Amino acid sequence: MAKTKFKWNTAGFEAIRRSPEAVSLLESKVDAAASAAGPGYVGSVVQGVGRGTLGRAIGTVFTGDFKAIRDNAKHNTLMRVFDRLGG
Amino acid sequence: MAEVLVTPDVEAASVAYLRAGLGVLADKVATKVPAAMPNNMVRVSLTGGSRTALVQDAAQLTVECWSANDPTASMLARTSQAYMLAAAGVTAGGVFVRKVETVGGVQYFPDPDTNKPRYQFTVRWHVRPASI
Repeated sequence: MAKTKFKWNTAGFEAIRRSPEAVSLLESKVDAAASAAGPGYVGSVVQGVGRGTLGRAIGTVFTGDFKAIRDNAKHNTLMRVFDRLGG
Repeated sequence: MAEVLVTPDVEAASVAYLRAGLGVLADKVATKVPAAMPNNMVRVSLTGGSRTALVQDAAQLTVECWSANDPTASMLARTSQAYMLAAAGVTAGGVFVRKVETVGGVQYFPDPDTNKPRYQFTVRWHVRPASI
């Protein structure tokens, strides 16, 4: 029986991590989470620096003003929208 | 119609479980903070989660611990965390917990309302929904 060889296409992974589609998907999730959190919460997507997983796009939702900081401290709002960032 | 499967009340289960485990360490373990907060208070809140499979729900529980000073609040949180993690594979408060995941470890999270030290952490209890 012929042996099957398997080889990871690392360049392909790299391309997917940096693709506009991946960034767009992340942006939509981050925006949904920030909107669900409410006014004052901000979403951001930045491209990582470096090769491999370091170079993937990184999405963040955070408090953008004092009112949101206080709201999060009182209600754990960011923890409650955590699932919206999932796959 | 598909079978209707209801997730167990993990808030009530975890409150009963922590209350039994913490004993005198906590003056009150509940889902609500009373108007007059006791000295050592533990609040459990269901802050999300997801139905990971037809018969498995990952319930996200955030546990906040207040006390008179930082070391006591920290100790209360770390002890609560130990109990919550130890629930894996046992029946806790009447609910069987299949697996426990850490979402966020114990962290200092000051409370703007009370100015009392507060530490909190978040875990996920994987539980089995039941048919009704």
